[in-house]
Amino acid sequence: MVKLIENEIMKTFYKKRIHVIAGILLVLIALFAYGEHYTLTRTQDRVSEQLGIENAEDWKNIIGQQLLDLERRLDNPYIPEEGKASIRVRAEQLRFYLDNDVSPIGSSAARFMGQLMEQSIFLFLPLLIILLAGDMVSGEVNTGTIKLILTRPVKRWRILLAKLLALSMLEMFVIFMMALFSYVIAMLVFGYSGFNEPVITGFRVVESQLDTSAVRTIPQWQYLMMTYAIGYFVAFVIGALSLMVSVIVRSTSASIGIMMSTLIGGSFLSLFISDWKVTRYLFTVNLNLTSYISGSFQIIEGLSMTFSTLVLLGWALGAISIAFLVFTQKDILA
Amino acid sequence: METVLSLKNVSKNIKGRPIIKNISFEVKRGQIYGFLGPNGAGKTMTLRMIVGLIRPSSGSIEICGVNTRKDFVRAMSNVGCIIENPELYEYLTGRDNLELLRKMEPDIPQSRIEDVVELVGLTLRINDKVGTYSLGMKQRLGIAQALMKGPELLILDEPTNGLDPAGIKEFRSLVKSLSKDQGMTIFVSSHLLSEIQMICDEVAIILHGKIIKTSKVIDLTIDQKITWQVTNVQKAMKLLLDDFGIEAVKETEETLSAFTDDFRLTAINSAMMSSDIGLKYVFKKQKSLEDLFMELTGGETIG
Amino acid sequence: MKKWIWYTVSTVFILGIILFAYGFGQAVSIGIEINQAPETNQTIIETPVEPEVVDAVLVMGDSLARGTGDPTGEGFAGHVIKGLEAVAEEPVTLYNIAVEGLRTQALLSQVTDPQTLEGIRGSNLIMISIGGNDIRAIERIESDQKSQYFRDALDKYLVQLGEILSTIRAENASAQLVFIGLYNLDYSPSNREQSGYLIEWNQATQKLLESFEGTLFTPTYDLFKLNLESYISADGLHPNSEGYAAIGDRILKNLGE
Repeated sequence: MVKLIENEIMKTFYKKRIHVIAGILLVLIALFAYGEHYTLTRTQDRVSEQLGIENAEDWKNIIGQQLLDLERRLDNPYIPEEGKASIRVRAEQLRFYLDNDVSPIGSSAARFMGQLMEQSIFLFLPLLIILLAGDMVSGEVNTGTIKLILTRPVKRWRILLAKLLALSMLEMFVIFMMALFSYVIAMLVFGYSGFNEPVITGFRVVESQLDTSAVRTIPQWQYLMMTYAIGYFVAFVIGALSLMVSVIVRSTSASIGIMMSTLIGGSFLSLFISDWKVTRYLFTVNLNLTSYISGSFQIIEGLSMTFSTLVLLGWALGAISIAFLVFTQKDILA
Repeated sequence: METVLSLKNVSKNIKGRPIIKNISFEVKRGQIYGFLGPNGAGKTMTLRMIVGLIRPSSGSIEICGVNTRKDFVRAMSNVGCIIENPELYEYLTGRDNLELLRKMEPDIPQSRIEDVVELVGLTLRINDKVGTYSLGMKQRLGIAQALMKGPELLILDEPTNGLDPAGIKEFRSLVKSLSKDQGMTIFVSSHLLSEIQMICDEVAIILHGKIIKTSKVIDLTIDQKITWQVTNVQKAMKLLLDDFGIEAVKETEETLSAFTDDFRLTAINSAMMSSDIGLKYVFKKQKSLEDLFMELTGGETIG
Repeated sequence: MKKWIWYTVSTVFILGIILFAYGFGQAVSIGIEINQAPETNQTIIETPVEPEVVDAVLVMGDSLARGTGDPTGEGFAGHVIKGLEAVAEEPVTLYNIAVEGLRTQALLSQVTDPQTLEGIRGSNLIMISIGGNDIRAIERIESDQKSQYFRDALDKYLVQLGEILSTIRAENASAQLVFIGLYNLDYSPSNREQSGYLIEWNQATQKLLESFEGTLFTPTYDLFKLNLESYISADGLHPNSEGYAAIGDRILKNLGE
């Protein structure tokens, strides 16, 4: 089996598929970094203008004051405990900036990496994975090489399993490239790694209001590990789905096209989630797993990290089963 | 094992329509067996069923006594094959292709790759990407991958496709030597009847998904085709029919032909000469498979 | 070359899977945690345990009330608290809900918040600083219609301030209300027009205040006129701690402490 997996990985590399994905990643990450940098300098200028700051060092005064302010508010008996949680957490962040001499308006490599994954996870990353996996089987049927491998004395399911495992390994490689490229480029642009910076997590939306009672901080590196782990999970699920489509559909372009349109079209259906209960079981709607820990709004009741994870897992397992079933029975007529 | 490949009552239906109808034949060890039929008769479909690309709707296929449905791995470990065009990974080199395939099966030593490459004559180009190969080279590589494991049974589908006359000749001697020197059993499907006639011991002929004849090649071509040039073709034809029971075919205004053997020919010729048919010439030609083919299939090409 | 690829990819994979297991596990546990935290239907307004205090002070308004520019963060409010505590020899609570850059309209919205109303109810001294940001907006207008703009802004401001004062009085009829007047940043003759607006603004405010019970207008215009150098902070806009001390002292004096 190991040899089979090796074969599959070799094929993908020599097809230059990985190279194409690497190229796209590089270009996109560079653009993203430049964009960040650009808006950042604009924001810094604007903020300086508004607050009348002459030089960059003055942010310390402002932060200092904000911190004192927050600490005073914590002493206030009128604020309920739940409200205090968010104040405490914000104070912790500000204390960190002061202690480590870091301006909160700037950006860091860690922050950039996190934002990149948060933004890519529901569309860009899946598209890359579709590129990777879409022709795993249909490509071979199209070019005819499928005849070569299916006429070896090897059971069909082993061949498909090797493809699936190779895909899983390659997906990890893609995530790794994403992390690596974003780190390097961000360091070049922002020059500060910021892995120990505290990040606030634990926001909840309860009855369309932001509930901050469970809020706390975690260091940036931990947040990144979680975010990228989630990224891999999503990549795996999309990979499984693409593999299934690749098995069922003969033409590679149809295979890639179907996945892409499902992905993009499916996100439209998320508009109906609150009312049309069925839509919340679609995989496209549950892709944005990072939003659960980053505190971006979820508009919907009943969606949670566990729910989305299970839904996605279900889709992945279903896709894998169908893929195996079809592949082992299929007649190769062409 | 005496029988290397056996098909018993194999049928295939696609979307309810029967494509292959109940075919059976046997290939014995050491034979070079030909599989003939017009386009669309079901040759490729049958071959694909033998190597497991398509599942038969019913019937059984055994390779070296092992049922391909029950133990695919064991059955196929005796087989090397090329199905239709030898499609290989164009973005890999010839050597990489062979390596990749070698890795998929246990116990094929690295040295085999060198051996087969030399055998098919690709040593000069083996390290180039297959995308740069000509059709002939791809064909050679296809044969190389089929031979890599030194199989008991070699299955070839249209193997001389894309080879120039020199290549075809080379191929012919390769096949003959594989059979003679290595005792390999070879199953060839082709529409190049002349080729089949030259290399095969036995053939099966398929038409509209049914086997219409299996027989040794010699037996089929023992008859010769005789062409008479006469003045009165009608009278000659009547004579052949009435006196000898032979149905002749009118070729031109002055010629007619029929199949017969040497023994009767003397009698026929003297009969013709005695009657006023006006016999001018008698031509003899060995019956070819093509003739037989035309005879059997009535000249149809598509079922 | 070939083996290289395989080794790299498999190494990345093995490392990645370990990190993945850890990271994903963490993420899911946070997810579960969030879901298990108790759900509240409304934000509960806690009624505080009555602290043993003599005075409770509420400060609202803009950055001046916030104390921006004072490195200790005290501002005039802190100074006043210190003064009160020295006399009462007991702690005085300070509740500061001021927001930087706040304008009168926004203060009006804030004042109707249940939290704020609670704070108003529980205080015996309420200090307000507002209007600076409103009038600064006028300053920036370059137009012949400037005086018309000023008129409109002043009228609007007075209506809003009136509503604010009414709301406060409806919640708390007895607390002392102190309003901090606006100072000038440029007292020179060349800035006469803007200075004129400022003075008129202050006068109108004082007049409005007098129509309510228990109010005190504390001017700052005169305090800063000759002391701009020493009282304004590095940002050139807000007072520094000396400036805030001066304001605080005047308030204390006015209150009779």
